[in-house]
Amino acid sequence: MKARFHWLMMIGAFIAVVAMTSASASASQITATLDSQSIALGDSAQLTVTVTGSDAAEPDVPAVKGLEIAPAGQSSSFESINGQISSSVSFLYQVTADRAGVFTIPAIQLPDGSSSQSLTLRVSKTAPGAAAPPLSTLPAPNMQSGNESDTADANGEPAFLRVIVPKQQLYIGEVVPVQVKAYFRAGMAASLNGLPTLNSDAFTLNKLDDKPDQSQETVGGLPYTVVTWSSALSAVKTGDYDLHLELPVVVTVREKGGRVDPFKQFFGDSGVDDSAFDDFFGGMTEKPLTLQADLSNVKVSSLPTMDRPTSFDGAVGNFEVSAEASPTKLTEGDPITLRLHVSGQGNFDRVDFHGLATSAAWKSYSTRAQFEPADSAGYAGTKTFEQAVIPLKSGQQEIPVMRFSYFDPDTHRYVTRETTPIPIDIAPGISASSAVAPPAGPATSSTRLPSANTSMTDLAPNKVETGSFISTLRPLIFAPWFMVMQGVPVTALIAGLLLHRRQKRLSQDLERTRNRSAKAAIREQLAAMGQALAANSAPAFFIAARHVVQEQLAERWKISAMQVTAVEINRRLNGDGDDLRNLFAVADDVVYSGRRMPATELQHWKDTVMHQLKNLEER
Amino acid sequence: MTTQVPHDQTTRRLIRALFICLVISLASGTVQAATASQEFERANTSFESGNYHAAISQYESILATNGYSAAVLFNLGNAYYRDGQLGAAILNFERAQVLAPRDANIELNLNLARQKAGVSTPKSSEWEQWARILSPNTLAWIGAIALITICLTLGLGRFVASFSRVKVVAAVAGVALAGVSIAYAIRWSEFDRAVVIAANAPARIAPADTASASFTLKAGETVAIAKSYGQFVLARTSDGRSGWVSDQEIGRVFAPRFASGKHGEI
Repeated sequence: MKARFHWLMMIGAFIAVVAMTSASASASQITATLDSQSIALGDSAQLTVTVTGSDAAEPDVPAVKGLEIAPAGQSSSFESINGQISSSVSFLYQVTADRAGVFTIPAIQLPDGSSSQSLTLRVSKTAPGAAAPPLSTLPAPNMQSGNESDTADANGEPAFLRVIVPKQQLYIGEVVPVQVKAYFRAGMAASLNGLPTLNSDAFTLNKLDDKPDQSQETVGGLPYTVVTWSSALSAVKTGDYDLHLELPVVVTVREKGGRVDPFKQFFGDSGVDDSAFDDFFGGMTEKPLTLQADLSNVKVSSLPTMDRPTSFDGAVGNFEVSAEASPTKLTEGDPITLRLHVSGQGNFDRVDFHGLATSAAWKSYSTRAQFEPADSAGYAGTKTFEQAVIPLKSGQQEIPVMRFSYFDPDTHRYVTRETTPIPIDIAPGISASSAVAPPAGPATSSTRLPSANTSMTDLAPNKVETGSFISTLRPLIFAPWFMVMQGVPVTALIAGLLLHRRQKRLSQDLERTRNRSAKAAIREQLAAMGQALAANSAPAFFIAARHVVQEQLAERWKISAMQVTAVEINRRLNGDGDDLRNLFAVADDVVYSGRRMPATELQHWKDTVMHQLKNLEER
Repeated sequence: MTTQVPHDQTTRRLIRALFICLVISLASGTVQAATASQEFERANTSFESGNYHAAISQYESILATNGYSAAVLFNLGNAYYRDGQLGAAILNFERAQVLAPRDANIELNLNLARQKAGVSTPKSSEWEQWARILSPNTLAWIGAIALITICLTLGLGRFVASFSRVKVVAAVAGVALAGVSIAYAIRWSEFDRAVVIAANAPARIAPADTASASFTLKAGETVAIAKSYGQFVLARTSDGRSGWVSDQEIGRVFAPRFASGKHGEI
């Protein structure tokens, strides 16, 4: 029962491995290799079909007339390079021939359509004397070719290193693109123990990317996983030197009789004899290696002194220059930002540009550089120099031509590039002198101004007086009190206009005016009545009382007050105004006779008048 | 007669109290100004001796006590610049420029700080440059005076003999008021301008610390604040991206009032 469980666990683990392989793969790749391309009749060769990053479906191996291709098992492997995991399954076949000759195994296809390259197997009647020529697309790594490095023998080593440079004759300061390629046999697990290092003081290597490119290549008929770093190499010393690079790696290789059982490690010892799996998987062991690559006889020459321009400052490469200024319309003394762009390919560390020089028309400050690489190696890109300049003269000025020289290693000569002049429109202003001139006297100003030799990288100096304070930076228009304040004059204006309009309208209303004057006269006469009563003056009292009644009735009957008489009252009131007629009669008598009256009687007449006025208002 | 004596005494007491209040107020203002001036000198001394942290603290103390001043903001910006806090430096230079828009040294240092921080200067049209010749408050006062002048001339002008002259004055005031209104309309969007203080401030997809960042903002980058929610503000960049940024990582240029350590209220 226990043994059965162990078997099930192993099968499950295998399925899991295959499933993970399937899940992690984005596209299938298939390679087919023969462990030997020449065999003697009666011997067998091993055909390995490796499927990477796809379902582990068994490939369809076509039949070849004269060959017997028999399945011999399969194996799986995981590779982890820089944390990137890839998996592959290798299907093994034993190939035997029934006659001598040259046989071609056609491309082997997967169900998804991807296919391997075709293979050739030479079968001789006797044992082969020499290896067949390689069928690789690249020369065997131990064969030096052009500017590639000498390498370890790929036939014997599971991994080797190459360095590829475009040329071996360099100028000092020249930068060339370089590729460092680490090759690992397909199906072998490998991990990097660091980045390639350059062991030479005659060259410098730009920073290598932590995530190199990965690809597949066939070298000497064998599939390899290739890890490639692209960088830039610069020469710093003249002379002949060897270029030597090293890369520490750990590879896992199969060894006979020494298998490490991953299932046993993972699930524990089941106590079951699983020697069949030992035969199937074989033994694996980790092996630390230092891959090395050498490129001999790299010649570094000094730069020629003949025809060297005065503006040359050490730049080596191929560059273009341009300039721009902002703003181009300003006031005298205001700063302009001048940007000078040097773009191209080459050694940007040696690219320097001093920019515009100080002159009678311009005060210039030191430049600040910023490099924007166009590639990961820093070989191509644009270096921008920013410089602050201040015009010292107003009017139509021009930022003059600026020159930049470099040595072109391809044409072996110096080149000078020029910027185009930039017109600047400068309005006269008082700030010109204050922005650039040193203070004329003691620091009585609120600002200590920069001296003429102050570098632009330095700040304008501190203020020495606090100036006025303000409680908030929010604009006043957001303050409620300010908005209310704006409403006051507007409201006053509107109110004044309305009042004026009303007064004008009222002045044009005659009846209302007459009414108002009548009421004013009544109030005046009532006051006179009161004063006469207080002074006990009967004539004055009755004169005022009669006027009150006249004004009241005149306003009511729309006639003049003088027209209100005892007769008119009798006629209009049809005998209802006896008290009023008596008032008029007594008034005439008192006024003309000068008769005196006691205060109580005057008070009685006052009450009578007030009562009659009330009655008239109510009618 | 007997009732007028206490009335007169009350009036005299009131006048005396007002006078004392005025004197105290003036004296207090003078003392405060003198104190601010001394603190300013101390902060400048700290700056000159290279103690930028102390200088920053002292300048901010002055601002918290007395309010904003172009000179103090300028020196505070210099201190932040020297201390390597370029976002805060740019913010304070921008604030100083609000109060003193024609100061060439502020412009110079602001450009230097932007260059060093690797942020671009916000582009402004020729109209915007004209509208920024005067500070917003100067514009506001010009507008207020123009409005009062217009109201006075319209209201009282008919009582003046030479009404044609009054009309000229009203027309001039009207032109000034129109100019101020146009300037404010042009500048309206900048009143929501803010500067990123923190380096690589995350702009999140929601106003929460746990929300994921859609992009990051550089220290010194200028953004517009669209709205606020809790401790977050919705910042919009010049290229149209927007995200929620903690108000601790951003400072409004037109800040209501200075709060020490917070770079002004958001």
